[in-house]
Amino acid sequence: MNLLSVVLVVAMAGAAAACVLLRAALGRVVAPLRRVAPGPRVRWALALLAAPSGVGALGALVAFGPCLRTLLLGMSDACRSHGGPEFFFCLRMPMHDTPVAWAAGLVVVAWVVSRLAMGTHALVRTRSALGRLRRLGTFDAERGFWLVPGDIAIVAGFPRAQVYVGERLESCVSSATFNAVIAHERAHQRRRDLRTKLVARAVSLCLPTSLRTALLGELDLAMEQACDAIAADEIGDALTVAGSLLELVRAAATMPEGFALAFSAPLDHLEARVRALCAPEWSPSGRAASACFALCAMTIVGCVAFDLPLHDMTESLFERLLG
Amino acid sequence: MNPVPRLGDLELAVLELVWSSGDVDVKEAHRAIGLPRGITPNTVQSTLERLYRKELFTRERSGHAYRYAAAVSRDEFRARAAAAAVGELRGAQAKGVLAAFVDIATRADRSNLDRLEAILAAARAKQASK
Repeated sequence: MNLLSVVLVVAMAGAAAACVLLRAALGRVVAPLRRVAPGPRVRWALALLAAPSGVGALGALVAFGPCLRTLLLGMSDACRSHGGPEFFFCLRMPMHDTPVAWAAGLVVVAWVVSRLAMGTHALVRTRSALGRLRRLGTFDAERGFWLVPGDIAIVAGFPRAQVYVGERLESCVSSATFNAVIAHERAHQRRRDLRTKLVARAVSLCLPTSLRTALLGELDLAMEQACDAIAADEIGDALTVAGSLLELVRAAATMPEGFALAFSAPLDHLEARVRALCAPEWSPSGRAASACFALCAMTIVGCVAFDLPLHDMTESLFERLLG
Repeated sequence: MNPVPRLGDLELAVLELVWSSGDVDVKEAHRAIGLPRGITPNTVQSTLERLYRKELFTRERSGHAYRYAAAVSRDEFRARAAAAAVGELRGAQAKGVLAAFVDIATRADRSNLDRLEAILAAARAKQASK
């Protein structure tokens, strides 16, 4: 358990440092990010969501790197070089055992387990609710979606996402709008967006709530815009898809309470989608992507090249903090 | 809209029977549903009682037995059951397990919708002039 505690503490410390930097940079990142085309923007949003976890994992790798390397390659132990009778990050030496390290590790484990349990519970409840919806509806094999009571248009379900469309929806909106809705939902299905969202939520568990919500919101917007673009290609007119968004929002005002599927969402997402369909102005992100890739590669190479000094530095720091 | 209680397969089958054939007593329900499933009349009676207690059936005494009739129509039941299932999915969107075409809670602001309609109209005019 203590080895796990130490790994988790190091990983969370690295993740926390990355969260602080990300939060500081967020205001400057969102506006330029929204000018990137939706497809690449999904990857950017995922990278930002995963960055703190990645930094935490890198921190753990840096801390244990030299020991892992010497163990795997059968080399002599490098841990004695920084002195001291006991060590935090040496797999061959007696572990420096402190109550603080134990307590911190237990807290992290309990927190991760509780978040995963909450996520699993949500998945189970969703499956149950979707099962009840399917029992009330019928599968339209020709058009490839479930026709259910109500006025909804969603794609849901794990591991296999399916499209659910309300019976009343087809009569409430124009046929052009209905076709746009179906094309959009099928695009989510083909892109496997729900799996991506679940992965995004899992890798971003360590982010503070406000930061996580903001970045997940950007990911959602990018996915919606990507599916709007696919729907526009499929039906041949981006403005029809834009019109269908507004027609559906207006129609929702006339839907009886309890029928319409209503979620909270920022109004600027609707505006961003309409504007993107009416007049898309995407900036190329190739240069920024190359720069980021180069930075990540250099960081990893640097951590590998200087693993022993970094390991010694981490060992000394932890001895001071937790010793 | 009041949610309907969750029903098991047998309860749903009995409901469907009553919707399609009108009011039934225990013997008729057992003949139609219990016999094919190998279920005893007591089980069928318990199911009818449960549905009555869940306020999905009304009943009237007819001789020594009760005759059960539906208290809600099929359409109303389906609508209420779907609304209940959809209500559970509301929280799911925040957990990322579904995607909705549009977030209908933006319905409230008419002035914003008008502004977006104007943007769309301008784009259509530009497209038409090309």
